[in-house]
Amino acid sequence: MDEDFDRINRCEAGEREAFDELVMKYQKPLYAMIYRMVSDHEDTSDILQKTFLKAFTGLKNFEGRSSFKTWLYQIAINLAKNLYRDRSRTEQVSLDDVVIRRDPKTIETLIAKESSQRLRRALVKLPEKQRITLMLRIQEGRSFNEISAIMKSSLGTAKANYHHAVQKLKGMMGNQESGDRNQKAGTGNEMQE
Amino acid sequence: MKCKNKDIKELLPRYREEGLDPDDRIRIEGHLAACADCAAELDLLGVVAAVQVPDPGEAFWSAMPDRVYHALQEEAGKKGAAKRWDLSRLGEVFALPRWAWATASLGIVVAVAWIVLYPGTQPVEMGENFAQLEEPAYPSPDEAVMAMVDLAELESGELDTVAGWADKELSSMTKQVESTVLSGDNQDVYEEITELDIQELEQLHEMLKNLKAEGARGSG
Repeated sequence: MDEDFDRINRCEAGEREAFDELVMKYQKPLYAMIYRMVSDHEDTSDILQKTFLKAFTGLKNFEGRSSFKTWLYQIAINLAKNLYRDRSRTEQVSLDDVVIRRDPKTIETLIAKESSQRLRRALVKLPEKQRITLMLRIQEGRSFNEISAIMKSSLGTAKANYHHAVQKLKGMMGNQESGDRNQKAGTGNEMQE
Repeated sequence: MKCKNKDIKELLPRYREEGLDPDDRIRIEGHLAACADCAAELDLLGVVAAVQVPDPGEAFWSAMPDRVYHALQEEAGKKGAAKRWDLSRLGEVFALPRWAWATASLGIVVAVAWIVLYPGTQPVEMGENFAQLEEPAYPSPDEAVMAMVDLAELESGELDTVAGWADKELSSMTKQVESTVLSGDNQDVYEEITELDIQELEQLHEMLKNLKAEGARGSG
């Protein structure tokens, strides 16, 4: 943490090396978090750049009340939220485009993809704060204390958002699975007829 | 059946991350063995955590600092350009050619000189002013009006020059008039008089009155 403040000071003094160090240190975790929110490399790349841009142009406003990492996360989440609101994407995998039915590896890949798509569809339906809290806790491995700092909420709110998110997700994934089973059963019947 | 043990549920992510101390770990494992709901939740957390994020590659990571740095420079350039635009616009106003400033200054000087020298004089009132003047002093009304207009258009410097010239001219004319009046020879005097302007005529008139008065005093 102190290293970050030292780098920030050197950065403000115009030291390019300190700037590079900060970008290199945080680009990967930020990229992963942003990607989980927007699900697109180009968008992620843009938001990542904008996050650093916003952070470095506003360095004088960084008072150090939270860590630099938390500050970066706050900026990135806000930028990603804006994009996410603009276009809440639900990418659909078209099986017909890629299926080579005789290749078991391809089928496994498709099943994994389909499962991933189902999860994504369920995540998209979660309220924004719950979705981000779940992502930070499970996918990013942030503690509840960190999440409350990033989300600018109380510790209790962070925990409550997490619990609500998990419960809703469980419900939605269960419904989708039963829905899928019903759909498959219906298709089977039609084929029999 | 839904489990309501929030303490356990809260520890599940850390259990999955293997971040718990041995005591808590044993406690969780004991609970999971008996609770299907929490076991299902742990599976779900595994699925959520397993969502893959593609690695854009080393070239992407190594280029990012430069990319951000250049974006910052561009941003700073834009802000600088915005400031420079304001200043340059202001500069354009002050960067007018010299002749424009000279013309504007001359216009101001002429206007001020006009107001100072002729505070109550309006071109349309010239006729009335002319009518009030003593008729014998003017050779012709048209010439008098022209003389007024010419004088009115002069600048203060030019007026000084004219005044200097008039003094010089009048001193020679005074001598000439004196000699003419005293000798009784009035050849070409009329032509000389018609060439004078209002001020010169007024001075001439004054001078003649003085001469007349002096003559009267001398004869008296």
